[in-house]
Amino acid sequence: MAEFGQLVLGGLGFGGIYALAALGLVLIFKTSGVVNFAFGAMATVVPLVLWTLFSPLGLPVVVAWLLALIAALLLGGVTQVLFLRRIEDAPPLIQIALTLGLLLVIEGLAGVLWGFSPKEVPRVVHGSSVVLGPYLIAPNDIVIIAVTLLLGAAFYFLFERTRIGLAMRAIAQDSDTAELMGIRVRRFITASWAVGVLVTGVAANLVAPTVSLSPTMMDNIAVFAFAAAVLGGFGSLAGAIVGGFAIGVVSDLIAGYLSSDLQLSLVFLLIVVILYARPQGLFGVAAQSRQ
Amino acid sequence: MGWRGLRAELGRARFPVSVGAVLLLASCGSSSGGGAASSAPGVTSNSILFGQTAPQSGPAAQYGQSTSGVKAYFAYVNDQGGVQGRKLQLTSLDDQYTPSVALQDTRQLITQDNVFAEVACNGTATSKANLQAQAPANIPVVGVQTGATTFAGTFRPFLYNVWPSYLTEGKLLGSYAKDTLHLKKIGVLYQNDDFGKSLLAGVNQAGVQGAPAISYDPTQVNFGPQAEQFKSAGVDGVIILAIPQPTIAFLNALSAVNFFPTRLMSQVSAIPQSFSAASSEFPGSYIGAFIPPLTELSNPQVKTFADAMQKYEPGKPVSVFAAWGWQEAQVAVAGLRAVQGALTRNSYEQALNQIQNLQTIGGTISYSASAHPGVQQMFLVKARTNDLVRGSG
Repeated sequence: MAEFGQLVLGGLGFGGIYALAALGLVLIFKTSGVVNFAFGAMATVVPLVLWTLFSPLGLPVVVAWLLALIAALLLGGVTQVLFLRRIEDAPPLIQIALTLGLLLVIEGLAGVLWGFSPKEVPRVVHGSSVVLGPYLIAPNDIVIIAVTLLLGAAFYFLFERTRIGLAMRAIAQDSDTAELMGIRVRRFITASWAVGVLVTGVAANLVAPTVSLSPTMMDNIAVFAFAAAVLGGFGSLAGAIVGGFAIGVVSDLIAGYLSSDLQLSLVFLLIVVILYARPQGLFGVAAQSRQ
Repeated sequence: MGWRGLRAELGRARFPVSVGAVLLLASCGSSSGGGAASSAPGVTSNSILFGQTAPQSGPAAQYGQSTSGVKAYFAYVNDQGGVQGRKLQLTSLDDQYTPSVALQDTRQLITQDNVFAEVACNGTATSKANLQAQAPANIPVVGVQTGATTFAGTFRPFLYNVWPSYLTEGKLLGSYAKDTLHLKKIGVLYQNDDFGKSLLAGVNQAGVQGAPAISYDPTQVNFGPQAEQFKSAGVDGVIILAIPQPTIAFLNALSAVNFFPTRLMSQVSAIPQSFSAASSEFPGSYIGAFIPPLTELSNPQVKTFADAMQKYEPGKPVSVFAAWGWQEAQVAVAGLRAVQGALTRNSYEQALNQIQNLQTIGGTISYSASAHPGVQQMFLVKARTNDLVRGSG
């Protein structure tokens, strides 16, 4: 029987990945109102760029990371301007369908450009796992958890304590009125796409060294991240973070004590139960009251 | 990659891969010259068209490298004049390692592309799905890249196995772990489908029950729980019956919990990227094999393969996966060369049934009218820091 504490620690590591990916998804949704189903595929492009800069081109890892993150900003912003802005007045279903199309296009193009053979991405930290009492935690997992909490706190501060955040919340509540109040709504929406892809891209960069990088790497992760966003209430940044860690821990416990084949179905069953009791998700009410 | 390269790649991705497509177009409708007259689909006076389904994308995309192995062997044969004056061509479709896509591809190959026969079709679940189209059409299929009992243990008149049975490989891995390495407590990680279960059955037959035996889903990326389960169980060895990406993720998960049991794995698990992507866990692993280590250039079969890959498929990996395709193409061509009279699917199958002791890169093949087994012999290789060597190396 696997150790409960070790499963929880391991779950927090992968939960951080789900949380970061969910955070990117929610950031975009909060300002543009679009559920970006292409978020996993877009995020995967970031470590693929990182690999290209680091491996074939031989740039230092820090430079490769920075340039890959700039590429993430560009990918998110350009995608919004080229595709989503064109149909910004279309019904939500059309916009969602477009993101589904983008998912297939980006994954296909990434496959053509980079191929599907696994690629090695440099780890952020090296070394043996750290001993925490009777348990071990991988250095990569520590970085993931720390980055997730830091980014979560930074975006919470941005949304709740700055004029930019106030503007973004105004757009989320009523974009027409926000426009009349002098807020440049389109710029904010483009920026939210850029930052949303950046955050999800960070998650992809951090997880790529351990799961082997390929254009479909984030497919499975995206499903759990989507579940995390739903669990957290979809409009809530804190909900995305807590939802991500919760999904990570619960899915690890399911795999450890029952079967990995049941991970996805039991995680979604749990979400159905929680949404039955709290249709707004874990943090939905708090998010609404803040708006 | 420049724009020209991108366009070329896009073209390759969107349209079926063809060897000598120009020749095919030029020969359409022609019935004169070359070999004996034929009315078989996919056969003209100067060409024979084979079809293949293999993943060029998705979690098992590396297996798609077998396409370049088939293409290299066909080009090698074509350079020597082809078979009875006919040049060999290949249409390969991407099945994404997804059974429904594979079946759709196979239907297209049979009904629209009119291939003469299929060669080197990849995967257990995908090949199983393909049977729904292959059996009614009674199309010759030379080589399915699986050793599952659904294929290796079942005779079908139109299907010619090349791979050894997974039972054989599972037994080899299990007995090596137990009797040679003297491991006391052996865990098994297996993919929860026919592929993984067939290998697991072989491991069980060797007297290793798996303590524990843990299944996984092929799309899974987080193997932390499995690593922790094996560690908690105190196993001193783990037999990994998995496709490449889950194998790499699992090996990294073992590292994350500082757990380094002896690792044994199926030949389908080992890819060149494993050396760097799981640099602390992959070296030292024992791997089942029927294709010899490709560094053994003193072996004429390996040398011919490596040279042909460089000449006809430059830039493509000279990998075990490519060797799979090369070997299956060797068998397919041996059958063509043995055909007496007009080339039809029926005469081709009769010729394949006569193959005895055919030496291929991956071992000896013999068929009869009532048995189409793959190669019977397997051995173990050991991963070192950068390469594979036979035995305990």
